[in-house]
Amino acid sequence: MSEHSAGRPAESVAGSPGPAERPGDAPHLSRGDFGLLILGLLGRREMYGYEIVAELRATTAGAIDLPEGTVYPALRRLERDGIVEGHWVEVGGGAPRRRYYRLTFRGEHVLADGRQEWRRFKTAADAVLGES
Amino acid sequence: MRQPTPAERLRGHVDRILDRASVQQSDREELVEELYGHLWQRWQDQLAAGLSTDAAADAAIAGFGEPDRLGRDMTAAYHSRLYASTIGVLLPVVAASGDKPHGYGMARLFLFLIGAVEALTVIGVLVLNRLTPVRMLVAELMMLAAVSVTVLAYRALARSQRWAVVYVKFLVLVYVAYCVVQVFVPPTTISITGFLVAIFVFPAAFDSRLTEWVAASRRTGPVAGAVIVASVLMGIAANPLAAAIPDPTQASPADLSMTVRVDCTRTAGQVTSGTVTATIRWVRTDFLPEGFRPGMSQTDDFGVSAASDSYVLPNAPPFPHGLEDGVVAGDWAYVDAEAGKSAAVDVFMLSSTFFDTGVDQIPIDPGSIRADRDYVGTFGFVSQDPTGLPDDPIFRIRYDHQGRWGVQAFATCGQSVVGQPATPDPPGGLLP
Repeated sequence: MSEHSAGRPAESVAGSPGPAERPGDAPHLSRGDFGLLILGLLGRREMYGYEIVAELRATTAGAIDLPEGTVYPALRRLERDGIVEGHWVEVGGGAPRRRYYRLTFRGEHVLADGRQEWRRFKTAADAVLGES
Repeated sequence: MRQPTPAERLRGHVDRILDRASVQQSDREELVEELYGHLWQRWQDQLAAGLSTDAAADAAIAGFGEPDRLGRDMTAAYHSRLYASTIGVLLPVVAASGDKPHGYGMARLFLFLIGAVEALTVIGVLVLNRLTPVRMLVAELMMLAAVSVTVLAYRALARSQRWAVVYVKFLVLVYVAYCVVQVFVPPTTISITGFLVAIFVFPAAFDSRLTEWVAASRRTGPVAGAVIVASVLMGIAANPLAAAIPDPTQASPADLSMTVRVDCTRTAGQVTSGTVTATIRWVRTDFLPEGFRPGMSQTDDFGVSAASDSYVLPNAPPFPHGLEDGVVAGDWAYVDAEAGKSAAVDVFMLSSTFFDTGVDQIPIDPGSIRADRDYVGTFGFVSQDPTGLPDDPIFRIRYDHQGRWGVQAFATCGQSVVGQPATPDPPGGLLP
Protein backbone atom coordinates (compact mmCIF):
# COMPACT_ATOMS: atom_id res chain seq x y z
CA MET A 1 0.00 0.00 0.00
CA SER A 2 1.35 3.35 -0.95
CA GLU A 3 1.99 5.99 1.67
CA HIS A 4 0.51 8.63 -0.59
CA SER A 5 -2.83 8.08 -2.18
CA ALA A 6 -4.15 11.48 -3.17
CA GLY A 7 -5.50 11.67 -6.68
CA ARG A 8 -6.10 7.99 -7.27
CA PRO A 9 -9.47 7.14 -8.81
CA ALA A 10 -10.14 4.73 -6.00
CA GLU A 11 -11.08 7.70 -3.88
CA SER A 12 -14.39 7.84 -5.66
CA VAL A 13 -15.31 4.42 -4.38
CA ALA A 14 -16.58 5.60 -1.05
CA GLY A 15 -16.88 9.31 -0.81
CA SER A 16 -14.28 11.98 -0.68
CA PRO A 17 -10.79 11.18 0.49
CA GLY A 18 -9.88 11.54 4.10
CA PRO A 19 -7.33 10.00 6.36
CA ALA A 20 -8.39 7.13 8.51
CA GLU A 21 -7.01 6.58 11.97
CA ARG A 22 -3.72 4.74 11.89
CA PRO A 23 -2.49 3.06 15.02
CA GLY A 24 1.21 2.51 15.26
CA ASP A 25 3.00 2.32 11.93
CA ALA A 26 -0.04 1.33 9.89
CA PRO A 27 -0.01 2.77 6.39
CA HIS A 28 -2.02 5.86 5.65
CA LEU A 29 -5.35 4.97 4.07
CA SER A 30 -7.74 7.31 2.36
CA ARG A 31 -11.41 6.49 2.53
CA GLY A 32 -11.23 5.52 -1.10
CA ASP A 33 -8.39 3.10 -0.46
CA PHE A 34 -10.21 1.58 2.47
CA GLY A 35 -13.39 1.24 0.45
CA LEU A 36 -11.53 -0.46 -2.37
CA LEU A 37 -9.91 -2.91 0.05
CA ILE A 38 -13.32 -3.80 1.44
CA LEU A 39 -14.61 -4.31 -2.07
CA GLY A 40 -11.62 -6.54 -2.78
CA LEU A 41 -12.49 -8.74 0.16
CA LEU A 42 -16.19 -8.82 -0.68
CA GLY A 43 -15.22 -9.75 -4.22
CA ARG A 44 -14.07 -13.07 -2.80
CA ARG A 45 -17.22 -13.83 -0.85
CA GLU A 46 -19.84 -12.10 1.22
CA MET A 47 -18.65 -11.17 4.68
CA TYR A 48 -19.85 -9.41 7.82
CA GLY A 49 -18.05 -6.52 9.46
CA TYR A 50 -16.04 -8.47 12.02
CA GLU A 51 -14.99 -10.92 9.36
CA ILE A 52 -13.88 -8.10 7.04
CA VAL A 53 -11.67 -6.63 9.75
CA ALA A 54 -10.19 -10.01 10.60
CA GLU A 55 -9.66 -10.91 6.95
CA LEU A 56 -8.01 -7.58 6.23
CA ARG A 57 -5.68 -8.02 9.15
CA ALA A 58 -4.82 -11.57 8.19
CA THR A 59 -4.42 -10.90 4.47
CA THR A 60 -2.08 -7.98 5.05
CA ALA A 61 -0.22 -9.77 7.85
CA GLY A 62 -1.24 -7.02 10.22
CA ALA A 63 0.12 -4.21 8.06
CA ILE A 64 -3.38 -2.75 7.88
CA ASP A 65 -4.73 -2.73 11.38
CA LEU A 66 -7.28 0.04 11.70
CA PRO A 67 -9.60 0.58 14.63
CA GLU A 68 -12.21 -2.08 14.02
CA GLY A 69 -15.18 0.26 14.17
CA THR A 70 -14.00 2.23 11.14
CA VAL A 71 -15.22 -0.53 8.86
CA TYR A 72 -18.86 0.31 9.59
CA PRO A 73 -18.97 3.92 8.39
CA ALA A 74 -17.14 2.70 5.27
CA LEU A 75 -19.68 -0.09 4.76
CA ARG A 76 -22.53 2.41 5.24
CA ARG A 77 -21.08 4.67 2.56
CA LEU A 78 -20.67 1.78 0.17
CA GLU A 79 -24.22 0.65 0.85
CA ARG A 80 -25.54 4.20 0.49
CA ASP A 81 -23.84 4.43 -2.92
CA GLY A 82 -25.33 1.13 -4.04
CA ILE A 83 -21.96 -0.58 -4.26
CA VAL A 84 -22.67 -3.23 -1.63
CA GLU A 85 -25.84 -4.57 -0.11
CA GLY A 86 -26.35 -6.04 3.31
CA HIS A 87 -28.65 -8.65 4.76
CA TRP A 88 -29.10 -10.09 8.21
CA VAL A 89 -28.28 -13.67 9.08
CA GLU A 90 -29.34 -15.43 12.24
CA VAL A 91 -26.42 -17.16 13.93
CA GLY A 92 -28.08 -18.91 16.85
CA GLY A 93 -26.50 -20.07 20.03
CA GLY A 94 -27.22 -16.77 21.77
CA ALA A 95 -24.95 -14.80 19.44
CA PRO A 96 -26.21 -11.59 17.91
CA ARG A 97 -27.32 -11.60 14.28
CA ARG A 98 -24.72 -10.75 11.69
CA ARG A 99 -25.14 -8.35 8.81
CA TYR A 100 -23.46 -9.81 5.76
CA TYR A 101 -22.43 -7.67 2.82
CA ARG A 102 -21.97 -8.57 -0.81
CA LEU A 103 -21.13 -6.68 -3.95
CA THR A 104 -23.95 -5.39 -6.08
CA PHE A 105 -23.76 -5.48 -9.87
CA ARG A 106 -22.54 -1.91 -9.75
CA GLY A 107 -20.09 -2.84 -7.01
CA GLU A 108 -18.50 -5.48 -9.23
CA HIS A 109 -17.89 -2.85 -11.89
CA VAL A 110 -16.53 -0.40 -9.36
CA LEU A 111 -14.18 -3.07 -8.05
CA ALA A 112 -13.01 -3.95 -11.56
CA ASP A 113 -12.40 -0.30 -12.37
CA GLY A 114 -10.68 0.22 -9.04
CA ARG A 115 -8.35 -2.70 -9.61
CA GLN A 116 -7.46 -1.43 -13.07
CA GLU A 117 -6.77 2.06 -11.81
CA TRP A 118 -4.78 0.71 -8.91
CA ARG A 119 -2.55 -1.33 -11.22
CA ARG A 120 -2.05 1.69 -13.43
CA PHE A 121 -1.10 3.78 -10.42
CA LYS A 122 1.18 1.07 -9.08
CA THR A 123 2.95 0.78 -12.42
CA ALA A 124 3.42 4.52 -12.56
CA ALA A 125 4.59 4.71 -8.96
CA ASP A 126 7.01 1.82 -9.48
CA ALA A 127 8.42 3.56 -12.53
CA VAL A 128 9.20 6.58 -10.40
CA LEU A 129 10.20 4.95 -7.16
CA GLY A 130 11.64 1.73 -8.57
CA GLU A 131 10.90 -1.74 -7.30
CA SER A 132 13.29 -2.97 -4.70
CA MET B 1 -23.04 0.26 43.49
CA ARG B 2 -23.36 -2.55 40.96
CA GLN B 3 -20.61 -2.77 38.37
CA PRO B 4 -21.85 -3.01 34.77
CA THR B 5 -21.56 -6.40 33.19
CA PRO B 6 -19.24 -6.79 30.20
CA ALA B 7 -22.27 -6.94 27.91
CA GLU B 8 -23.53 -3.67 29.38
CA ARG B 9 -20.12 -2.10 28.89
CA LEU B 10 -20.07 -3.19 25.27
CA ARG B 11 -23.55 -1.82 24.76
CA GLY B 12 -22.52 1.40 26.50
CA HIS B 13 -19.64 1.83 24.07
CA VAL B 14 -22.02 1.44 21.13
CA ASP B 15 -24.32 4.05 22.67
CA ARG B 16 -21.44 6.48 23.14
CA ILE B 17 -20.55 6.14 19.47
CA LEU B 18 -24.08 6.61 18.22
CA ASP B 19 -24.79 9.42 20.67
CA ARG B 20 -22.15 11.32 18.71
CA ALA B 21 -23.66 10.47 15.36
CA SER B 22 -26.58 12.04 13.55
CA VAL B 23 -28.41 8.94 12.46
CA GLN B 24 -32.10 8.32 12.05
CA GLN B 25 -33.69 6.25 14.77
CA SER B 26 -34.56 3.43 12.36
CA ASP B 27 -30.94 3.17 11.18
CA ARG B 28 -29.70 3.48 14.73
CA GLU B 29 -31.47 0.34 15.86
CA GLU B 30 -29.77 -1.77 13.19
CA LEU B 31 -26.42 -0.11 13.84
CA VAL B 32 -26.68 -0.89 17.54
CA GLU B 33 -27.21 -4.53 16.73
CA GLU B 34 -24.39 -4.66 14.20
CA LEU B 35 -21.81 -2.82 16.29
CA TYR B 36 -22.74 -4.67 19.43
CA GLY B 37 -22.46 -7.95 17.52
CA HIS B 38 -18.94 -7.02 16.49
CA LEU B 39 -17.89 -6.12 20.02
CA TRP B 40 -19.56 -9.24 21.37
CA GLN B 41 -17.66 -11.50 18.98
CA ARG B 42 -14.37 -9.74 19.73
CA TRP B 43 -15.08 -10.17 23.42
CA GLN B 44 -15.77 -13.88 22.88
CA ASP B 45 -12.55 -14.29 20.91
CA GLN B 46 -10.55 -12.56 23.63
CA LEU B 47 -12.12 -14.80 26.23
CA ALA B 48 -11.18 -17.81 24.12
CA ALA B 49 -7.65 -16.44 23.96
CA GLY B 50 -7.50 -16.62 27.73
CA LEU B 51 -8.26 -13.09 28.86
CA SER B 52 -10.44 -12.48 31.87
CA THR B 53 -14.01 -11.32 31.36
CA ASP B 54 -13.26 -7.69 32.09
CA ALA B 55 -9.92 -7.66 30.29
CA ALA B 56 -11.60 -9.17 27.22
CA ALA B 57 -14.24 -6.42 27.31
CA ASP B 58 -11.51 -3.79 27.72
CA ALA B 59 -9.65 -5.15 24.72
CA ALA B 60 -12.76 -5.30 22.58
CA ILE B 61 -13.67 -1.68 23.41
CA ALA B 62 -10.12 -0.39 22.97
CA GLY B 63 -9.74 -2.05 19.60
CA PHE B 64 -13.00 -0.72 18.27
CA GLY B 65 -12.00 2.94 18.18
CA GLU B 66 -12.74 6.31 19.75
CA PRO B 67 -16.45 7.14 20.01
CA ASP B 68 -15.94 10.76 18.87
CA ARG B 69 -14.19 9.78 15.67
CA LEU B 70 -16.48 6.88 14.88
CA GLY B 71 -19.56 9.03 15.59
CA ARG B 72 -18.36 11.69 13.18
CA ASP B 73 -17.52 9.11 10.53
CA MET B 74 -20.92 7.54 10.95
CA THR B 75 -22.63 10.91 10.54
CA ALA B 76 -20.59 11.54 7.41
CA ALA B 77 -21.64 8.13 6.08
CA TYR B 78 -25.29 9.11 6.30
CA HIS B 79 -24.98 12.76 5.38
CA SER B 80 -22.66 15.06 3.49
CA ARG B 81 -19.31 15.96 4.99
CA LEU B 82 -20.52 19.54 5.42
CA TYR B 83 -23.53 18.33 7.36
CA ALA B 84 -21.36 16.03 9.42
CA SER B 85 -19.04 18.85 10.42
CA THR B 86 -21.78 21.39 11.18
CA ILE B 87 -25.34 20.35 11.85
CA GLY B 88 -24.30 16.78 12.55
CA VAL B 89 -22.18 18.01 15.43
CA LEU B 90 -25.02 20.07 16.84
CA LEU B 91 -27.86 17.68 16.21
CA PRO B 92 -26.89 14.11 16.98
CA VAL B 93 -29.88 11.91 17.45
CA VAL B 94 -30.39 10.66 20.93
CA ALA B 95 -33.70 9.24 21.92
CA ALA B 96 -35.26 11.44 24.55
CA SER B 97 -35.33 9.38 27.66
CA GLY B 98 -38.48 9.15 29.69
CA ASP B 99 -40.79 11.98 30.59
CA LYS B 100 -39.80 15.54 29.91
CA PRO B 101 -38.44 17.23 33.03
CA HIS B 102 -39.70 20.38 34.64
CA GLY B 103 -38.47 23.35 32.67
CA TYR B 104 -38.46 21.57 29.34
CA GLY B 105 -41.72 23.09 28.12
CA MET B 106 -40.77 26.64 29.07
CA ALA B 107 -37.29 26.30 27.59
CA ARG B 108 -38.72 24.99 24.33
CA LEU B 109 -41.39 27.71 24.22
CA PHE B 110 -38.64 30.28 24.77
CA LEU B 111 -36.62 28.88 21.88
CA PHE B 112 -39.71 28.85 19.70
CA LEU B 113 -40.45 32.51 20.43
CA ILE B 114 -36.84 33.57 19.96
CA GLY B 115 -36.71 31.70 16.67
CA ALA B 116 -39.99 33.25 15.56
CA VAL B 117 -38.75 36.76 16.35
CA GLU B 118 -35.48 36.10 14.54
CA ALA B 119 -37.32 34.71 11.52
CA LEU B 120 -39.66 37.71 11.46
CA THR B 121 -36.63 39.99 11.61
CA VAL B 122 -35.12 38.23 8.61
CA ILE B 123 -38.37 38.72 6.69
CA GLY B 124 -38.83 42.25 7.99
CA VAL B 125 -35.42 43.42 6.83
CA LEU B 126 -36.25 42.16 3.36
CA VAL B 127 -39.77 43.55 3.23
CA LEU B 128 -39.00 46.95 4.72
CA ASN B 129 -36.00 47.32 2.43
CA ARG B 130 -34.56 50.06 4.60
CA LEU B 131 -30.94 48.97 4.59
CA THR B 132 -28.29 49.61 2.00
CA PRO B 133 -27.33 46.50 0.04
CA VAL B 134 -24.17 45.45 1.86
CA ARG B 135 -25.69 46.23 5.22
CA MET B 136 -28.77 44.25 4.32
CA LEU B 137 -26.62 41.31 3.29
CA VAL B 138 -24.65 41.42 6.53
CA ALA B 139 -27.76 41.77 8.65
CA GLU B 140 -29.56 38.98 6.84
CA LEU B 141 -26.64 36.57 7.03
CA MET B 142 -26.20 37.22 10.73
CA MET B 143 -29.88 36.84 11.45
CA LEU B 144 -30.12 33.70 9.32
CA ALA B 145 -27.22 32.20 11.24
CA ALA B 146 -28.92 33.10 14.51
CA VAL B 147 -32.30 31.69 13.51
CA SER B 148 -30.67 28.52 12.13
CA VAL B 149 -28.95 27.81 15.41
CA THR B 150 -32.12 28.58 17.32
CA VAL B 151 -34.09 26.12 15.17
CA LEU B 152 -31.37 23.51 15.66
CA ALA B 153 -31.43 24.14 19.39
CA TYR B 154 -35.21 23.78 19.39
CA ARG B 155 -34.88 20.38 17.71
CA ALA B 156 -31.85 19.38 19.76
CA LEU B 157 -33.67 20.09 23.01
CA ALA B 158 -36.32 17.55 22.01
CA ARG B 159 -33.46 15.08 21.59
CA SER B 160 -32.22 15.86 25.11
CA GLN B 161 -29.03 17.46 23.85
CA ARG B 162 -26.92 19.24 26.40
CA TRP B 163 -25.84 22.03 24.06
CA ALA B 164 -29.45 23.08 23.53
CA VAL B 165 -29.85 23.68 27.27
CA VAL B 166 -26.56 25.59 27.32
CA TYR B 167 -27.90 27.69 24.46
CA VAL B 168 -31.08 28.45 26.35
CA LYS B 169 -29.15 29.36 29.48
CA PHE B 170 -26.86 31.69 27.60
CA LEU B 171 -29.77 33.38 25.86
CA VAL B 172 -31.58 33.81 29.16
CA LEU B 173 -28.50 35.31 30.81
CA VAL B 174 -28.07 37.77 27.97
CA TYR B 175 -31.71 38.84 28.20
CA VAL B 176 -31.60 39.19 31.96
CA ALA B 177 -28.31 41.10 31.83
CA TYR B 178 -29.82 43.43 29.27
CA CYS B 179 -32.85 43.92 31.50
CA VAL B 180 -30.63 44.74 34.48
CA VAL B 181 -28.53 47.18 32.48
CA GLN B 182 -31.65 48.96 31.28
CA VAL B 183 -32.92 49.32 34.83
CA PHE B 184 -29.71 50.68 36.32
CA VAL B 185 -28.06 52.59 33.49
CA PRO B 186 -29.60 55.94 32.54
CA PRO B 187 -31.87 56.55 30.81
CA THR B 188 -33.48 53.89 32.93
CA THR B 189 -36.22 51.81 31.39
CA ILE B 190 -37.78 48.47 32.12
CA SER B 191 -37.57 45.81 29.45
CA ILE B 192 -40.83 43.89 29.55
CA THR B 193 -39.28 41.06 27.55
CA GLY B 194 -36.28 40.86 29.84
CA PHE B 195 -38.55 40.97 32.86
CA LEU B 196 -40.70 38.10 31.58
CA VAL B 197 -37.61 36.06 30.71
CA ALA B 198 -36.17 36.64 34.17
CA ILE B 199 -39.40 35.65 35.89
CA PHE B 200 -40.50 32.67 33.82
CA VAL B 201 -37.65 31.30 31.70
CA PHE B 202 -34.68 31.77 34.02
CA PRO B 203 -35.94 29.35 36.69
CA ALA B 204 -36.86 26.80 34.02
CA ALA B 205 -33.55 27.00 32.16
CA PHE B 206 -31.50 26.65 35.32
CA ASP B 207 -33.64 23.94 36.86
CA SER B 208 -31.34 21.08 37.87
CA ARG B 209 -33.82 18.52 36.53
CA LEU B 210 -33.43 19.91 33.03
CA THR B 211 -29.65 19.79 33.36
CA GLU B 212 -29.75 16.21 34.61
CA TRP B 213 -32.07 15.23 31.76
CA VAL B 214 -29.44 16.09 29.18
CA ALA B 215 -26.44 14.92 31.19
CA ALA B 216 -26.10 11.72 29.17
CA SER B 217 -25.56 13.58 25.92
CA ARG B 218 -22.31 14.87 24.56
CA ARG B 219 -20.58 17.63 26.48
CA THR B 220 -20.65 21.06 24.94
CA GLY B 221 -17.17 21.39 23.49
CA PRO B 222 -15.37 24.49 22.31
CA VAL B 223 -16.86 24.27 18.81
CA ALA B 224 -20.44 24.06 19.97
CA GLY B 225 -19.70 26.69 22.62
CA ALA B 226 -18.34 29.06 20.02
CA VAL B 227 -21.38 28.45 17.81
CA ILE B 228 -23.70 29.19 20.71
CA VAL B 229 -21.97 32.41 21.71
CA ALA B 230 -21.58 33.59 18.13
CA SER B 231 -25.18 32.91 17.18
CA VAL B 232 -26.58 34.69 20.23
CA LEU B 233 -24.32 37.68 19.67
CA MET B 234 -25.13 37.75 15.97
CA GLY B 235 -28.84 37.79 16.72
CA ILE B 236 -28.36 40.71 19.05
CA ALA B 237 -25.80 42.67 17.09
CA ALA B 238 -27.07 42.13 13.54
CA ASN B 239 -28.96 45.40 13.18
CA PRO B 240 -26.63 47.83 14.97
CA LEU B 241 -23.56 46.23 13.42
CA ALA B 242 -25.06 46.34 9.95
CA ALA B 243 -25.92 49.99 10.42
CA ALA B 244 -22.38 50.81 11.50
CA ILE B 245 -20.33 49.06 8.88
CA PRO B 246 -19.12 51.02 5.86
CA ASP B 247 -20.94 50.13 2.70
CA PRO B 248 -18.80 50.40 -0.42
CA THR B 249 -21.92 50.72 -2.53
CA GLN B 250 -22.72 53.99 -0.84
CA ALA B 251 -21.51 57.54 -1.25
CA SER B 252 -19.26 58.79 1.52
CA PRO B 253 -17.79 62.12 2.66
CA ALA B 254 -14.79 61.34 0.47
CA ASP B 255 -17.03 61.74 -2.57
CA LEU B 256 -17.67 65.40 -1.87
CA SER B 257 -15.70 68.51 -0.94
CA MET B 258 -17.13 71.74 0.39
CA THR B 259 -15.73 75.20 1.11
CA VAL B 260 -17.62 77.94 2.93
CA ARG B 261 -16.64 81.59 2.76
CA VAL B 262 -18.19 84.53 4.61
CA ASP B 263 -17.59 88.14 3.49
CA CYS B 264 -18.87 90.93 5.72
CA THR B 265 -19.43 94.64 5.31
CA ARG B 266 -18.95 96.74 8.43
CA THR B 267 -20.06 100.11 9.64
CA ALA B 268 -18.23 101.49 12.65
CA GLY B 269 -16.80 98.05 13.22
CA GLN B 270 -20.15 96.25 13.27
CA VAL B 271 -21.37 93.91 10.58
CA THR B 272 -24.24 95.39 8.62
CA SER B 273 -24.35 93.03 5.66
CA GLY B 274 -22.44 90.32 3.89
CA THR B 275 -22.49 87.22 1.75
CA VAL B 276 -22.08 83.53 2.46
CA THR B 277 -20.68 81.39 -0.31
CA ALA B 278 -20.68 77.61 -0.18
CA THR B 279 -18.88 75.75 -2.94
CA ILE B 280 -19.63 72.06 -3.28
CA ARG B 281 -17.80 69.73 -5.61
CA TRP B 282 -18.69 66.08 -6.12
CA VAL B 283 -15.82 63.76 -6.95
CA ARG B 284 -18.28 61.27 -8.38
CA THR B 285 -21.99 61.31 -8.94
CA ASP B 286 -22.79 57.73 -9.90
CA PHE B 287 -24.03 57.22 -6.37
CA LEU B 288 -26.68 59.89 -6.76
CA PRO B 289 -29.57 60.47 -6.49
CA GLU B 290 -30.21 58.27 -3.48
CA GLY B 291 -26.69 57.32 -2.64
CA PHE B 292 -26.76 54.11 -4.64
CA ARG B 293 -25.27 52.91 -7.82
CA PRO B 294 -27.68 53.12 -10.75
CA GLY B 295 -30.13 50.27 -10.84
CA MET B 296 -30.24 49.73 -7.13
CA SER B 297 -33.52 50.10 -5.37
CA GLN B 298 -34.35 52.85 -2.96
CA THR B 299 -33.36 51.92 0.53
CA ASP B 300 -32.16 53.89 3.43
CA ASP B 301 -30.51 53.56 6.75
CA PHE B 302 -32.41 52.80 9.90
CA GLY B 303 -34.84 55.48 10.95
CA VAL B 304 -34.03 58.68 9.21
CA SER B 305 -35.10 58.99 5.62
CA ALA B 306 -34.22 62.40 4.29
CA ALA B 307 -33.32 63.88 0.99
CA SER B 308 -29.80 65.03 0.37
CA ASP B 309 -29.90 68.57 1.65
CA SER B 310 -27.67 71.45 2.43
CA TYR B 311 -28.34 73.14 5.72
CA VAL B 312 -27.48 76.66 6.67
CA LEU B 313 -27.60 77.55 10.30
CA PRO B 314 -26.66 81.06 11.37
CA ASN B 315 -25.39 81.80 14.81
CA ALA B 316 -25.62 78.22 15.78
CA PRO B 317 -25.68 77.37 19.43
CA PRO B 318 -23.69 77.53 21.63
CA PHE B 319 -22.53 80.73 20.00
CA PRO B 320 -23.40 83.91 21.92
CA HIS B 321 -25.90 85.30 19.47
CA GLY B 322 -29.57 85.09 20.06
CA LEU B 323 -31.59 84.07 17.08
CA GLU B 324 -33.60 87.22 17.40
CA ASP B 325 -30.75 89.11 15.78
CA GLY B 326 -32.44 90.84 12.96
CA VAL B 327 -30.98 89.78 9.69
CA VAL B 328 -32.59 89.68 6.29
CA ALA B 329 -30.92 87.38 3.83
CA GLY B 330 -31.19 87.02 0.10
CA ASP B 331 -31.46 84.13 -2.36
CA TRP B 332 -29.80 80.83 -1.83
CA ALA B 333 -29.13 78.49 -4.67
CA TYR B 334 -26.48 76.20 -5.96
CA VAL B 335 -25.33 77.19 -9.40
CA ASP B 336 -23.09 75.30 -11.74
CA ALA B 337 -20.05 77.58 -11.77
CA GLU B 338 -19.21 76.64 -15.36
CA ALA B 339 -22.61 76.45 -17.00
CA GLY B 340 -24.35 79.01 -14.85
CA LYS B 341 -27.34 76.72 -14.41
CA SER B 342 -29.09 76.21 -11.13
CA ALA B 343 -28.51 72.83 -9.62
CA ALA B 344 -31.35 73.14 -7.18
CA VAL B 345 -34.95 72.28 -7.78
CA ASP B 346 -36.31 74.27 -4.90
CA VAL B 347 -34.73 77.59 -4.05
CA PHE B 348 -36.01 79.22 -0.93
CA MET B 349 -36.27 82.95 -0.62
CA LEU B 350 -34.78 83.62 2.75
CA SER B 351 -36.62 86.10 4.88
CA SER B 352 -36.76 87.18 8.46
CA THR B 353 -38.63 84.00 9.26
CA PHE B 354 -35.43 82.24 8.42
CA PHE B 355 -34.15 83.25 11.75
CA ASP B 356 -37.26 82.16 13.53
CA THR B 357 -36.11 78.60 12.99
CA GLY B 358 -32.54 79.35 12.28
CA VAL B 359 -32.46 76.56 9.70
CA ASP B 360 -33.16 76.29 6.08
CA GLN B 361 -32.83 73.34 3.82
CA ILE B 362 -32.15 73.47 0.14
CA PRO B 363 -32.86 70.20 -1.61
CA ILE B 364 -30.27 69.47 -4.22
CA ASP B 365 -31.36 68.07 -7.53
CA PRO B 366 -28.96 65.19 -8.03
CA GLY B 367 -29.97 64.83 -11.66
CA SER B 368 -28.36 68.12 -12.48
CA ILE B 369 -25.11 67.44 -10.67
CA ARG B 370 -22.02 66.44 -12.60
CA ALA B 371 -18.72 65.29 -11.18
CA ASP B 372 -15.71 67.57 -10.90
CA ARG B 373 -17.73 70.76 -11.30
CA ASP B 374 -18.08 73.50 -8.69
CA TYR B 375 -21.58 74.26 -7.50
CA VAL B 376 -21.66 77.59 -5.77
CA GLY B 377 -24.41 78.64 -3.42
CA THR B 378 -24.43 82.29 -2.36
CA PHE B 379 -26.76 84.35 -0.29
CA GLY B 380 -26.54 87.84 1.07
CA PHE B 381 -27.56 88.95 4.52
CA VAL B 382 -28.43 92.38 5.88
CA SER B 383 -28.79 93.47 9.47
CA GLN B 384 -32.24 94.88 10.25
CA ASP B 385 -30.54 97.12 12.79
CA PRO B 386 -28.86 99.90 10.80
CA THR B 387 -26.10 100.10 13.40
CA GLY B 388 -25.13 96.50 12.64
CA LEU B 389 -24.97 93.18 14.47
CA PRO B 390 -23.63 93.14 18.03
CA ASP B 391 -21.29 90.28 17.16
CA ASP B 392 -19.93 88.79 13.98
CA PRO B 393 -22.39 86.16 12.70
CA ILE B 394 -21.21 82.59 12.42
CA PHE B 395 -22.74 80.37 9.79
CA ARG B 396 -22.85 76.62 9.59
CA ILE B 397 -23.23 75.17 6.13
CA ARG B 398 -23.88 71.50 6.04
CA TYR B 399 -24.42 68.94 3.34
CA ASP B 400 -26.45 66.05 4.65
CA HIS B 401 -26.54 62.79 2.76
CA GLN B 402 -29.63 60.73 3.39
CA GLY B 403 -29.29 61.29 7.10
CA ARG B 404 -26.29 58.95 7.09
CA TRP B 405 -23.40 61.33 6.97
CA GLY B 406 -22.64 64.97 6.42
CA VAL B 407 -19.98 67.47 5.55
CA GLN B 408 -20.12 70.74 7.37
CA ALA B 409 -18.16 73.92 7.99
CA PHE B 410 -18.49 76.78 10.45
CA ALA B 411 -17.34 80.14 9.11
CA THR B 412 -17.51 83.74 10.21
CA CYS B 413 -16.55 87.01 8.63
CA GLY B 414 -13.38 86.84 6.56
CA GLN B 415 -13.03 83.07 6.83
CA SER B 416 -12.89 80.44 4.13
CA VAL B 417 -13.35 77.06 5.73
CA VAL B 418 -13.11 73.59 4.24
CA GLY B 419 -15.96 71.32 5.28
CA GLN B 420 -15.22 68.30 7.41
CA PRO B 421 -17.07 64.99 7.66
CA ALA B 422 -19.68 65.09 10.35
CA THR B 423 -22.05 62.61 11.84
CA PRO B 424 -25.72 63.14 11.16
CA ASP B 425 -27.58 65.59 13.33
CA PRO B 426 -29.74 64.05 15.98
CA PRO B 427 -33.25 63.06 14.97
CA GLY B 428 -35.58 66.00 15.20
CA GLY B 429 -33.40 68.50 13.49
CA LEU B 430 -30.48 70.75 14.01
CA LEU B 431 -32.02 72.85 16.73
CA PRO B 432 -33.69 71.84 19.96
